[in-house]
Amino acid sequence: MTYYSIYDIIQKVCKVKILYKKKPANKVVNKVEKIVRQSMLYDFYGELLTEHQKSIYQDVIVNDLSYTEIAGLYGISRQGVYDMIKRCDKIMEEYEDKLRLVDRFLRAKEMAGDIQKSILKIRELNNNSDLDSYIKIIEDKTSELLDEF
Amino acid sequence: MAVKMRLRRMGYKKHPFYRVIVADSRSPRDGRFIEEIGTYDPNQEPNAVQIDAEAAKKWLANGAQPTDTVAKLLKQAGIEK
Repeated sequence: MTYYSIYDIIQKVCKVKILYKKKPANKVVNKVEKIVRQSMLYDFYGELLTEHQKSIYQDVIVNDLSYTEIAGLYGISRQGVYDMIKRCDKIMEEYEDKLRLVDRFLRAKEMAGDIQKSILKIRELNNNSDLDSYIKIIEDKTSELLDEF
Repeated sequence: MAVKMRLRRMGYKKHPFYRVIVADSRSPRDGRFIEEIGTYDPNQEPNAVQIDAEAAKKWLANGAQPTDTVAKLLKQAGIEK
């Protein structure tokens, strides 16, 4: 006897096709990527948090403390710390959604990197020393531009 | 003495850069550490993880507790207990 699953039977009887609901892929949170992301968010939007939030958030991203350790230091519950971090993440991600400062900065940084690479190539190929000062200007202005963010 | 392996953020604003350090768990915030065993630089492509495997193994064997983030980095670097 062939085994039919309940879905097969329903499909046969009702002559409909059931679209299997895709199982949500287990969201793998890479802790390292997460801390880098949190650091970037904090660098751009940290000033918008309250002092208390800032101080706790810094313990997470600068000192890599666990929630339990922070809970002990501040005399609040581990759950409280977890909620607080989660809330800060949410607040700053919302700012990021609207302002895109981190996103734009990272893209600018990538482009600046490309420019730097081209400059190196030009330096290599260049045998006209008159151009050196101009190349230097391009190089300096590129990093200055990045600092504007 | 309980010892932990954790990341410590260095680098300047908007350019995070981390050291992997071994430190006393009782003074997590005073900046002191026992030994620096590696670095992690997310600014480079691909991300540059440099960990002194021998030192890491030695500390793990001595009961140093890595944080989740450091555990992940150790795994990436192929260092097992």
